[in-house]
Amino acid sequence: MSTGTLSPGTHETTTSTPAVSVRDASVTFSSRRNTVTALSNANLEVTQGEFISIVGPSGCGKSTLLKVVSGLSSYSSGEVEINGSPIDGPRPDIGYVFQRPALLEWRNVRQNIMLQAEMRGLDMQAANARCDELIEMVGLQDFEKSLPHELSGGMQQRVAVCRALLHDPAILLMDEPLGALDALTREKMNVELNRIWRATGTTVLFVTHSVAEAVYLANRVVIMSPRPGRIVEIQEVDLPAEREYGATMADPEFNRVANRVRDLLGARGTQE
Amino acid sequence: MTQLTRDSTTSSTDASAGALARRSPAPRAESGVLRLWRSSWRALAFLAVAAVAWWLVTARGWVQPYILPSPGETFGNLVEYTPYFLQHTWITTYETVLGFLIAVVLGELVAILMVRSKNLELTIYPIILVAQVIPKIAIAPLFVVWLGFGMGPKITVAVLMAFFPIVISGLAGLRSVDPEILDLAKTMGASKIKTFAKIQFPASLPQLLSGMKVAATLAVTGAVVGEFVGGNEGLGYVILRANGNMDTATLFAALLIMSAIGIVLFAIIQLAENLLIPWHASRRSDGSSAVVAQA
Repeated sequence: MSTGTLSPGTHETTTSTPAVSVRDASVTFSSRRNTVTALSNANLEVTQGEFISIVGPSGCGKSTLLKVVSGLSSYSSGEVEINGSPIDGPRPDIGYVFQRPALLEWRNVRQNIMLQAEMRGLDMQAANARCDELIEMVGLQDFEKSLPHELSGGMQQRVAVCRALLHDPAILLMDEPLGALDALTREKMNVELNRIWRATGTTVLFVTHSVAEAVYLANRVVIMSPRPGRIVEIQEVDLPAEREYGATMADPEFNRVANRVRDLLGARGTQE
Repeated sequence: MTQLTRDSTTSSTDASAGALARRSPAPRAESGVLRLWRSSWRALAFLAVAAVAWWLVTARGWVQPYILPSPGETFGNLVEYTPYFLQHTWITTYETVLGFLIAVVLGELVAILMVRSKNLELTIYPIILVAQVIPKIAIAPLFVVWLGFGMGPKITVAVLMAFFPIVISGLAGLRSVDPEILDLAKTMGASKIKTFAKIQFPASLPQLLSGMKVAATLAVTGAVVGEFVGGNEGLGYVILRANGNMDTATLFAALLIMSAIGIVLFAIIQLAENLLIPWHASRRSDGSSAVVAQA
């Protein structure tokens, strides 16, 4: 198999421009009764190829932050840029993975992944080749023709990841993509995500409820807190890019960060 | 390359689970006739019992022939006057099918407009509701005044009868799309037309098709009601005339043909369902939706 297009550094932007730059961004929702600040003065700079985990209790604005970066939600104040250009409306250069696989029931695995190419009007031949690589990468070769209802939850979510990666996005946004999976599948998917991230070199913003998952996957962990939703702290994870499930979790650095994150979340008494 | 080999081991358990889910419900290759028999023998058996009862009641003379003609008389009538019945059946079928097709196109168009614009929905919906509440048979004479004694009023009544279930089911279908999938389409920079063609419309098909089944049977009623009110052709006219002559055998024959039209239309849509939405849970006979529930 050729790993050519999967190798890191396929994006044309220079490494000096931040992949994502959020400066003093706030999001408020107003209803007739009151105004809710979903995100308050968030600051975050993500370098090219970085894996960022975002953790925090419900209502801390982590999904809002992701929606803002994707262009699905607008922000009230501040600045948000992707690769140096400000966001106005949905971005073409991102891949989005939702909590649920959000697959089209009537399309098989390959057709679901290729939806990305059809919607964007990409070159079909190149997209098909890329699709082959992705399907092989996540080990779904034997299930190309299967419909979503014939797949397990983990397999469905892998299809969603392939779909998000098909157009070689500069940034992959994942909103609790593993939240609905059972613990065992989730562990396997963690290993797989780490591998996919290393293979593609894509910048990833990964929202999760799980502290262990956040630390295991990330270069940096963003800890958020609710009412109003804000970034409390950003913790560096000083571990090599390649993580090993058992070994990484036994590493003192892993435990240092995980404990720090738990302290921060627990201290506020709002952890779920 | 080492990464790839590791992957194949991590995913092997998952893969075998999926294969199992696929293998177990796979039906053995079965001929179409056998499958049809398997699904319809109960209904056929019931029909046979009903036919025997019908025959028995009339043969024993428990009911007067002018009230209930015998099966022999009814079918004899059908055979004897085949060209007559064929001519009128053709007319009614034509009105029904044309009315039904117009209703499908109009209904789906209105449903699309209502999904597109909240203002339009708030404007149109009450009107449609009022139009639905008016008994069609009561306004049918009006259409005769407006459109004459030809096929116009019959087709119009058929359209009106079939329209409502199409709009309602079309609207419900278009609304049933997972909002996350619509968000996903936005992140793909998809145009509204592409989103409709590739996501919203296919997703709406299961509901639209069940609305079409209801609409098809109503279209038959609409056409016949139109024929009752004015005109000199079609099965509705045949029934009216047979009624006037106390010719219950002809009346029953016409009734049988009308039911047959409705059933054939219904069956065609059922067939369309098998072809268009084999992926939908209602079409799956293997209970494999359990896998989805697990996820």
